Amino acid sequence: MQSQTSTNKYFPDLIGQNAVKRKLSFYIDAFNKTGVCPFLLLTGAKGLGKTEFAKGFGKNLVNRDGTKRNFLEINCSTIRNNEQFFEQIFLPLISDNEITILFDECHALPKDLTMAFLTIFNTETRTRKTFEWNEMSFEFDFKKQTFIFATTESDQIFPPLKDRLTNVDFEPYSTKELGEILRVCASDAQIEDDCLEEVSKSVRNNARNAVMRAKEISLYCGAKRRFIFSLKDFKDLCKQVSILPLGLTYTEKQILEALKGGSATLTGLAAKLGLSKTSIQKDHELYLLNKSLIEIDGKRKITAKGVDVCKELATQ
Amino acid sequence: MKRGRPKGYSPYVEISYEDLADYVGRKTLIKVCKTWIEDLAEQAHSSTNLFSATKESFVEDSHEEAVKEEQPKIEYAITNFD
Repeated sequence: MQSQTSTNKYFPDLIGQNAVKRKLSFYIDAFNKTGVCPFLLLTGAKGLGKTEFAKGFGKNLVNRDGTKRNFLEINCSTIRNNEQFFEQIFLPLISDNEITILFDECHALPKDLTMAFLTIFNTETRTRKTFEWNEMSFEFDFKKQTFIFATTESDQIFPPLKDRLTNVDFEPYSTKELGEILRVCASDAQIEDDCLEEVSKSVRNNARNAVMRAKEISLYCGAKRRFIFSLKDFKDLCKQVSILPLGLTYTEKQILEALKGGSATLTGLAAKLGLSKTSIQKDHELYLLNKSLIEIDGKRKITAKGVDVCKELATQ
Repeated sequence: MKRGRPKGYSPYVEISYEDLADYVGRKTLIKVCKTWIEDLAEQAHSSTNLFSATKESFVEDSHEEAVKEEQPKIEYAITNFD
């Protein structure tokens, strides 16, 4: 069994995601002894730290000569086809090199490269693979090259490719973990305990938002030339940079206000707000449902908690 | 009963290459007469004597080059931890 010390050793700067840390630490230990690492697929909602953990993982992989392995991060939405990938990325940066490669937003991989990856990553027990394409051969050496994939939309990955990858699933952060992130990132300010809880609630369960909120707190304290950040300061900051209760967006506020007058169908709500039905479903109502501010029972209805938040919004 | 096409009817219409590209894009494969395209390729290169490959391969190569030139750059970042 792995100790907490081992996971902290590999990810000292990253807060939370203990299950992810344990799993990745196991693969780091195994890699540094055997030189082999499975092809990882990091999945989870936006802002849970997939890219940061992928980098943290890559940082701990050691080459055969003892140096640290370089880390290549590719935005998959900019890859158009096989030819472009092999010419611009594989031949100059990957072939024959010891390197970790992160395919970020991998659900956006083009179809022909996804098909190529089905062949390449179908390795069974071998650590080398030759991929023949367009009358050329491309050598993959999985002791030299470590592949990581990451996405928020795992349902959009071609299932046979997903089968070839080892899934590492990220869990939502607790309010306590978000508080820790805020404290670490706003180290030049001392956030009071009661305030920390309120600030944590405003970051929408999202670590990236917590980092950004911490920056705002640092700027606020810097501008006011003070070290202590109290609840009163947070209310003042909310006014200045328009932070709504629970970190709601203005569209979510509009939805709550529209439902305060009575329940509505999705079409009715879309007509009232001038938004598409898909946009309401995908972008706006999920967080309201998550926070139990609305409920759907055929029609959209505001909850008692939602009414309270509406009252709070009205006072602002 | 009338049969056939009316007098003066043609199944073809004239359209500039520029307008056609608006509909089908510049990379779409279009079937053209082999003799016509070979003649066209020969005319274009007869003055420069650079045309040594077969006419078919010239057409293929020039198509490939056009595609290569238009490949956008893949966005990436390399981190060195040492």
